[in-house]
Amino acid sequence: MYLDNGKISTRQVLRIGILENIPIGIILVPFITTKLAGPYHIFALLFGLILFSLYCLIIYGFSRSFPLGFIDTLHTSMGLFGRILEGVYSLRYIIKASLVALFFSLIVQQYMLRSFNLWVIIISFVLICGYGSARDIEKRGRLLEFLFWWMIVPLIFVVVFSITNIQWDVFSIPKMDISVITSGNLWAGSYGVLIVLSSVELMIMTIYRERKHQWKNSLNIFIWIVIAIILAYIYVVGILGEGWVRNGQGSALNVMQASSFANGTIERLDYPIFAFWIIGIFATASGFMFYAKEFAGSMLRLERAKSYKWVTFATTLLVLITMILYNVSWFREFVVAYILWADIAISILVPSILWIVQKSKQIAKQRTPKAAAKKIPAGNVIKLFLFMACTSVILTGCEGEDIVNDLVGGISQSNAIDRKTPSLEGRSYVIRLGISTDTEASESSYGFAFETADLSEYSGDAGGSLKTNSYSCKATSVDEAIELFFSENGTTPDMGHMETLLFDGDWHNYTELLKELSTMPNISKAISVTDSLGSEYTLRELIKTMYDTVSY
Amino acid sequence: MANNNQNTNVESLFDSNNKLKVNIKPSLDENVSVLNTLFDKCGDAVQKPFIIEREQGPVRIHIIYIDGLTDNGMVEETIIKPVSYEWRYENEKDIWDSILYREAQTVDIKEETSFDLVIGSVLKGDTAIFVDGYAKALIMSTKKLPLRGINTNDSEAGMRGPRDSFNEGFRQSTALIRRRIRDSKLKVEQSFIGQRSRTDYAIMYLSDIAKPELVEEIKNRLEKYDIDAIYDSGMAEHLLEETPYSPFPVFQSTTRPDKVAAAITEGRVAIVFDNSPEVIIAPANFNMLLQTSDDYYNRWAVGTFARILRYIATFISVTLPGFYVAITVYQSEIIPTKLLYAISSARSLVTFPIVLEVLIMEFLFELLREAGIRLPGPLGNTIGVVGGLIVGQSAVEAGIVSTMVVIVVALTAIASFAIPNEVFASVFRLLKFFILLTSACFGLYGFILGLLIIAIHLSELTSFGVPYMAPTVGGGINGMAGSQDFIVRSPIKVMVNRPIWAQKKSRRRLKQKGE
Repeated sequence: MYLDNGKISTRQVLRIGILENIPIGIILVPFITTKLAGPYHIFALLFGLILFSLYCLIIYGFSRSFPLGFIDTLHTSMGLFGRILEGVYSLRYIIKASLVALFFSLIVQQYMLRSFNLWVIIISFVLICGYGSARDIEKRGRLLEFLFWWMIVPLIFVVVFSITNIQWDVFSIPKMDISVITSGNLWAGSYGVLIVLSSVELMIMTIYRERKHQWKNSLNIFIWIVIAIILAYIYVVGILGEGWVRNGQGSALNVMQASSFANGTIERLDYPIFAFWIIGIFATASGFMFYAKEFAGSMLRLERAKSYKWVTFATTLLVLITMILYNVSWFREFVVAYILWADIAISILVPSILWIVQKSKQIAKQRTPKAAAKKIPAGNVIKLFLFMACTSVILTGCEGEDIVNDLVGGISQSNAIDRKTPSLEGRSYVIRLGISTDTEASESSYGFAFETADLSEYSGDAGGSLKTNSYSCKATSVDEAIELFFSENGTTPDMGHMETLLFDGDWHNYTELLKELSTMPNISKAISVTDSLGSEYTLRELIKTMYDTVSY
Repeated sequence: MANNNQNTNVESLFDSNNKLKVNIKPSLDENVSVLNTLFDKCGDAVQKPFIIEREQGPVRIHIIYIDGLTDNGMVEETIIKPVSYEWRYENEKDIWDSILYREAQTVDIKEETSFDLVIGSVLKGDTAIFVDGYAKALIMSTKKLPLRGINTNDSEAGMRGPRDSFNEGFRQSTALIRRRIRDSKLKVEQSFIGQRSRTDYAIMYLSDIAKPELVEEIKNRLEKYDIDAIYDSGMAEHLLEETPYSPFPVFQSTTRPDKVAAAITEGRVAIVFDNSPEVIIAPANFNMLLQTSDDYYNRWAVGTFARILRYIATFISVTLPGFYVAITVYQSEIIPTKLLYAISSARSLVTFPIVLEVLIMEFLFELLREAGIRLPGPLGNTIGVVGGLIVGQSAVEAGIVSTMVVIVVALTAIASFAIPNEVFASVFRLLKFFILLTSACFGLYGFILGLLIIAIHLSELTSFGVPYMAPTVGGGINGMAGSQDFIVRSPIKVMVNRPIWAQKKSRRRLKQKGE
């Protein structure tokens, strides 16, 4: 009655644009730039953002060129070919949604639910994305408008509470020479940034819905994305260092640990922040599923209100099927090749073709001598130029197969740990952990000494000092030591509240263990580490130094 | 056999919609025969034939009313006495006009030709008078319904402001609203709903402020269904909703006349139902359901603070048990170390897993609440105290639950009581179990997924076209000025405009005289 008019507000367009495009970028851009461009990551980011700007301009141009909307124009202008293209778009977005969901599920499993089977996480997430994508654009606009601050406020917490942990020397600009420019790594990094941020193409289906402030809206979205990406890059690389970031796509999440409330009100603020980041990923994945559904519905010429429920269901099912297919090597290779070589090209080529078809139809309609003599306006020439520029970048190639392989290959590599989450009373709370090298055994064996809290007579502060228990064992890794502890004591050592880590001798002897500790999200990276030489660090500093100085 | 024939005769008088299809006849005998058939075995129906003397000869009349719903004294004073005694020698050409315009000593009298409407009126407490030779009847308003008085408002009590409350009397409810809006543009469109109950309802709105399409939509929805009976506005509310499976109410129901009056002057529409002390208002959204009348009567800062508290309480009432389970079972790293030690050592005597422990305690609380409602006043309070103190403490001592869980459940309960609308509060009590379930399955991840599902549902909900989450969503659309009366309740001087649901030309509600 008041708002059922098929339009969305300026604020909704802005928030859709931000939520659909930022969450993946803030996690992956630091990883991609450091992994591919090495010490030249800052240049990769810079060039990547320039490419992204060009891409945004093209997308904006297209969104202005189709005032009826890209889907409806494709639907009405190109007949059977249009229907095929609608199908192609639907499949593209299904693949992209499945990639986002897979990447997300792997991180959730690694970071939050290590004892869970990956498929449990995938299915729950995809089903909710399906539910979230089942609405029309107005409801989607309202949803993302509502969820906006749920994601942004926690991110502001990270920005505010961890600013003091940034080490600015990481950003010292390395010398550039011609070999760097021609090596391809720099360009691969830049192109990687563009791929990660290419979800901005969804705006072609959104911008036109708000007619009054299209340029202002687009500019705002662009500025938000660029600022968020630059901030994420500064915080992640500045806090963790290049070496740590390049060693895992989820390492950026450790930045969240750098922020915590004063006086331990919440010990690990990273978990709630991470939890709310889920909302952002939901926005991106459900965005792809939403448009996959829209294209499929349009291709099948279905009535929107009634049949779209079935299309949504089918889309959700197809996303799940696609994820099963990632277990098949040829499909994985196909997706890798597609994402690297074809996806961005399609996102530019199809609207270009549509634009040309539309223009020729318009010219044919007004076939008067004057109209026939009319040339394509200068603005459109610029669009074509930008299109060519972007395409040429794509054709320069990319060496990012490893990254995409890392992402889509994860589904077959991921395994839940055998040990299920123990109950509170089934845990031994580790206060201190001492680690020494085992000189008698092989080089890779260590001695572990656990000091755990004895809570049998615990009565809070009034009860005086806390009693402790000790346990020692020899193992090749922290994980093995935990297993040994469990098998001998019947309780699982909980390292989530560990206060100190002690190394016997120089920490350089424990680089493998430090690497393992860096991947254990339950261990706070803010704990203090002391070696027998008297040096004191926080675990985060030590891991950062280790990754920066030891080459892998 | 005789009964069967009687039933058949009665049924032959009605059409398939349970409406009387016979018309009033000029012959009084025929009309009386219909009345006898209709009110056979109805001990409360009072019928009396009279013969009144006039110069042109005796005139037969027949009076009918329902004992208990009608003011007998009024019937005698305003109609029987004047007709049979005071005007007996007056000469009038038309006896009908004479009774209607001269003899009947009441203002509220009208003529009716439809038997269906006549019987409907009689069943509401009016008195019908049939006159021989006329195919119509006189309906005289003589209602005297068994009602309680205007009581103090217990269900929506406030620190400041009027304390009166609606009761089951339809006319009393409309009067309480009219008393607050003395404007002829306050329209009271009356009709009835329910084939059997014939429940009266009134749609009340200000004709120059409420959007005509909103009023029309409400009327259409009310007329859309044939239902046996409506006993309370709650039933009608469910009938009028677009989303019957949603747990969230899309109408605001209240027993406070000042709240209804305020809503009407904002451009919303109130529906008053007979036999229901709750008046429903549309459109309604999440924000409105967390507002109280006090907010506007207190200083703006105090009102704002109370609103912030209520929003936090709402969040706590849904999420606290789930969050507790998520962080104790899965992400215990969040909990400060000393608190974790305290929780862990307190749990050493508890035999059940945390999830079951919370579920037991929540179930116990809901059980106590239900028992407290069903028992008479003082006994109900006792159950609450006994349950809270004794059962809770015993459960801790017996190792069924830990102290921390008792605190969590108690805090959740207190938070849910801070929600001003009872219907709304019960939705959150229900959703608490949903969040508890998702958190128990997936920890913080499940907690967020649960919240996401609720958020998706809330985003798609609308109440007569107004987004349920407005003004959080829909900002800027059609000049929506919702933020001045959202979490922050702006000073009255600042709330210059009416919200989006008012007619565009009537958005201004505050201006200086002469402006």
